[in-house]
Amino acid sequence: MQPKSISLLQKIDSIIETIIVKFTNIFENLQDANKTTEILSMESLAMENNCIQIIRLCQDLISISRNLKEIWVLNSIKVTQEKFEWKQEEIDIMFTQFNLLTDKIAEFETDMNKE
Amino acid sequence: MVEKQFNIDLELNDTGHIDPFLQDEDKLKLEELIPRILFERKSFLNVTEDSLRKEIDNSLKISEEDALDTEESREDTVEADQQEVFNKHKFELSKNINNALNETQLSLDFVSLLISSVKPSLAKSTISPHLSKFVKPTSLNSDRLGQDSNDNQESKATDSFGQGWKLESLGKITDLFREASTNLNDQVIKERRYWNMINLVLANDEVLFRMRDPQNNARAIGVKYGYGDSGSNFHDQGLALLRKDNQTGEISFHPISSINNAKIVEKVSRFIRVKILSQIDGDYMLTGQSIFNFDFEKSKQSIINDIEKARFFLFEEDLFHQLIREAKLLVNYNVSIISNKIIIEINNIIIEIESIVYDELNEEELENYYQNVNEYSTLHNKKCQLILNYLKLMLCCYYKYNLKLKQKVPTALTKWKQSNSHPLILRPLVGNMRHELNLLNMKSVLDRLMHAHESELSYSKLDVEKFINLATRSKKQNPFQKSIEKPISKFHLVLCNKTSNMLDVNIQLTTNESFVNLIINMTIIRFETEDDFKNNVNGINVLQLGFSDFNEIEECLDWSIQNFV
Repeated sequence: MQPKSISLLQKIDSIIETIIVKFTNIFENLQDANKTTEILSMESLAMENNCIQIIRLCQDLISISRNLKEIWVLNSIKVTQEKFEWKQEEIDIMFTQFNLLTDKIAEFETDMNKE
Repeated sequence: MVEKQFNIDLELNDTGHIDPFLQDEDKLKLEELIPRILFERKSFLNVTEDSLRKEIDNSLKISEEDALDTEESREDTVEADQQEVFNKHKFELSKNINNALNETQLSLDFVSLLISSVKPSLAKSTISPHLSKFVKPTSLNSDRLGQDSNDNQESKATDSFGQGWKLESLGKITDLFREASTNLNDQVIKERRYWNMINLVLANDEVLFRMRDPQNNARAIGVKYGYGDSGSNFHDQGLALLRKDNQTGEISFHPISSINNAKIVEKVSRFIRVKILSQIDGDYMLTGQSIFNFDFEKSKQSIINDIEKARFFLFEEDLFHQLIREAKLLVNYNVSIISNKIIIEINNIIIEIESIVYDELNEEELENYYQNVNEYSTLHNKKCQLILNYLKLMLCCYYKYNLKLKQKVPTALTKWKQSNSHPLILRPLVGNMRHELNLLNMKSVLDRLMHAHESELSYSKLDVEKFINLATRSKKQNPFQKSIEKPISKFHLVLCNKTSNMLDVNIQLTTNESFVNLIINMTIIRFETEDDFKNNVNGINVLQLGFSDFNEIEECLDWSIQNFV
C-alpha cells in the first residue's frame, strides 16, 4: 500500500476518533455538581465549540470522499473490452467502397457536355 | 460607557456602509478638523458665500444623479446587492472584532491593576490614565477571603446558574446540529448528482482533466472533446469546463480557450456545405447542394449531446481550415478562395465549398427549402453529399497519418515530416476529377487519330488501363490508397500498316505531387512483322518522350503515324 493511502487512512481514523471524543466531552460537560460559576460558563462555551468542531470534521470527511472520487475519475486507465484488429477482408471491402466513392465523384455526365 | 458606545455604533449603522477604520468627519475634534480644512481649501482668497452655496447645490445634484443612475441600471442592482451583502458582513465582522478588542483592553487594564502591588513601574506604564486617576494603584490583589457562613446559599445559586447556562448551550447545540445535518445532507445530495453526471461523461469514453473555474477559481473538472490525441494539429484543442451549479449540483458545458489561461469562449458554430453549379444554356445555375445532417438528440443526456455537438462543429471547422491551407497551393489551377468559400472550376461545373454559420433558428436554410426552383436544381444533390463525405474521410485519413508520425521514434526525418505535415484532402479530389478529364481527352485524341488514318491502317487496337498503380501492391494496407498516391493510367495502342509493320504505342498518364498537373510519358516501338511483335524481339525504339499538353502529344503522335504509314 502506498504511503499516501496509509496517511489518508490515518487521517480518517483520527477524524472519527476526534468526533467521538468531542461528542463524549459534550456529555461530560453537562454535569453541574460542585463547580464554580467561571467553570460552568467555560464548559457552556466548550460545548458549543465541540459542536462546531464536530460539524467541521464531518465536512472534512465529505471533502475526503470528494477527493477520492476525483482521483478515481481522473486517474483511472481506460481499457477497451475487445482487441480490435483490421482483417484483410474488411480492408479490401473498404478499399473497394472507397474507390467506388471516388469514381462516382470524379465522373462527369456526358449529357451536360452536349447541352 | 457602554450606552455611549452602542449609540455611536447605531449612528454609524444608520449613515450607511461606512468603513469603520475611516474617521467620521462630523465627530473629529476641532484641532484635527482645522488642518484637514486647510489642506482641502489651500487658499481662502476666493471664498464667497455664493461659491459656497453653489458647491452645496452641486453636491446635492450629484447625489440625486447617483440615485437616478442606481435606479436605471438593473444589471448593477444584482451586483450591487451582492456587494452590499458582502460589505454588510464585512462591517459586522469588523464591529465584532472591535468589541472583542475593547473587552480585551478592559481585561488587560485589570491585569495591570493587579500587578501594581508587585511591580509598580510596570503597572504605571501599562495602566490606563482613567483607571489610575480614580483607583489607587495597590488596591487589588489576589488574596482569597473565606466566607463559611454563606456556603449553602451560594452553592444552590451556582447550581441553578449552571443548569440555566447548560440548558441554553444544549439548545444552541441542538439547533446547530440540526442545521448542520440539513446542510450536509443537501451537500451530499448535490455531490451525488454532480458525480453521477461526471460518471455519465466518463462512461461516454471522454477524457477528463483537472482545472480551475475561471469565474471563481474553484476546483473543477474539464473535458477534452477535440481530436488532438487522434492526430489533429488544429489550434483549437477542444477543451471545455464542466461547471457545477451550486444550487442543484448539475454540470453544464462551457468551452474554454486553453488550460493555462482558461477563459470561457463564446463559440460560433460553423458547418461545411458543398454546392455544384452547372452550365445550362450558357449560364451557371445551382444544380445540387449538400444538406446539414447531424442528430443533436442522439443521447438521452443533454451534457453528452452538448459534447458531441461541440465535437461535430470542431471537426467541421478543422476540415475547412485544412481545405483553406490546401487551396492556397492550387490557386494556379482554377481554385480560388473568397472569404469563407472555396471555388473550384472544372470542365463545365463549379464546385463551391462554403463554411456557413450554424443558426438553429433558421431551419429553412438547413433543410434546403429553396432548392426546388426548377428541374435542374436537385440534379447533383447526391454528388454533393458524396463529396462532403469524401472530404471528411480524407480528414480522418490525415489524422491517422499524423498519429502514426507521433508514434514513431523521433528522428530527424520524422521531426521534419511532423513540422512539414500538410493535408491531402482537396488535391486528391480535384486530381481525380482532372485525371478523369484527362482520360477522356486522351481517348478522344487517340480516337481522332485512328479515325484520320483509318484508310491507311489495316489494323488498330486500343486498350485502356485505369489506375494501374493500385494493382502494384500485393497487400492492401491502406484503404485510402487511391487518394494518397498519384493516379497512373495507361493507354496501349497497336497499329499495323499495309506492309505488315507493327507500331506499339505505350502512353502513361500521370501527375506529380500536386495531383493536378498533367504528365504524359509516351514510348513508341516499331516491329517489322507480327511475329516479332508477339515475341517482343527485334523492336526498334522510335520515340520516347514526355509531354504536358494534349496538343503536343497529338501533333507528335500524328507525325509518328504518318511516318509509320
